[in-house]
Amino acid sequence: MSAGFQAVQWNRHKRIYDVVLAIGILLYLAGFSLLGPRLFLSDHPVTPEIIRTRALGSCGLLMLTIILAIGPLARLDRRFLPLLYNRRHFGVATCLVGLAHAWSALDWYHGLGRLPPLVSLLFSNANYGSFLGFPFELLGLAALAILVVMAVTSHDFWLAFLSAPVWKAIHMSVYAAFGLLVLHVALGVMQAERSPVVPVLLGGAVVLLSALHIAAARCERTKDEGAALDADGWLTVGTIDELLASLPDGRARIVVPSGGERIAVFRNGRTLSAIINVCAHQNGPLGEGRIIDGCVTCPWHGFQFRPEDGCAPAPFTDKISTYRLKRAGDIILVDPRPLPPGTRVEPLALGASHG
Amino acid sequence: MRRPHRRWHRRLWLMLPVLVGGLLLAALILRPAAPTGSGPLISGSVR
Repeated sequence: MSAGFQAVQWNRHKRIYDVVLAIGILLYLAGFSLLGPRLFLSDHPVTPEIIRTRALGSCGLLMLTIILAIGPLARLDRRFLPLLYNRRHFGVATCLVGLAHAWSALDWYHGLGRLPPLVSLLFSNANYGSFLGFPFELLGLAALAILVVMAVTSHDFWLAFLSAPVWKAIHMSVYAAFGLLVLHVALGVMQAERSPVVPVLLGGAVVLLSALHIAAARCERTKDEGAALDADGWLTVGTIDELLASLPDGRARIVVPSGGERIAVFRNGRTLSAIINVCAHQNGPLGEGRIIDGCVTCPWHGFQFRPEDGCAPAPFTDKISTYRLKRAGDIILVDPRPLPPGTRVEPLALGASHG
Repeated sequence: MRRPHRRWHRRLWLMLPVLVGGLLLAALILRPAAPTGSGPLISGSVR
């Protein structure tokens, strides 16, 4: 979070992330340049320019596959959360690699003709009625256009300017971009090559991403089955002894009322506070974060909220809903009806259960 | 994560991998037995 505008909010973690990313890209490109020529089985010469184009293209598609895998992986296993933290930089890097691929392809295949390269790309193949002969370049161009729009609007400024639902809808089009790129490769290089590597990797990416998303969706659905409410409409969080024993300080237990929104009940020392599980920034799962410096910190992008009133610390103005907690004997209960965002609720003391 | 996904929304998301996977499979099955030899791009250039 930042009080003023900064183009990129750098910190040590982001720098490490970006350096590792850059090294990974360079290693991949170098490796592909060395091994790539052995992978292709075609009867036309595979020139260094073609290798360069394919190295950049495959690198971009691999990066996009990793980006799309990070979300479900983080939902299935918390250990992947650090990858999610700086995913936007990963996305912008993917867009740059895609642009480099487009430049390389335009330069080699369309750069020396009588027509300007872009005109050549757009109009030299008008075989729209054919499946295998379809101008697959345009599929890649459409995917690249989506990636460019996403990269340009990736900053939080655009999130605030466009509103979260619009921004999210724009950025969900990354799935359309992935589909377009799969078809770009399937109708492009896969038709010109006999090597099984291309269809195996391409099919593998589609199957892997589909399986991960289905697994994550099932996992989420299981969490959302919801618990029944008591006669007063309150939901059981747990017993005091059990919460003290199993809930680490600064962490949350997520409870779900049947048909309702998830509630994160945070332990802060020997008190409990309940807030909505949805971050005001990008709907991140607050209950999977922890309390740092007295504030619940979203595991996705580090947005912070005070557990007792759901307000971001000054000078920020974001607010989230809070919930009332009560104690009935040894049992802690939460009222699943959310209070207006920013409503202060006195933290519930976790006194000794028999005291 | 905010939960609700409407039913049509879920169907739409299920259609995407099925559509892409189906087209990929069709492109694999229908691809010519021998390499086209024309390279991956059909170019308007003189190369």
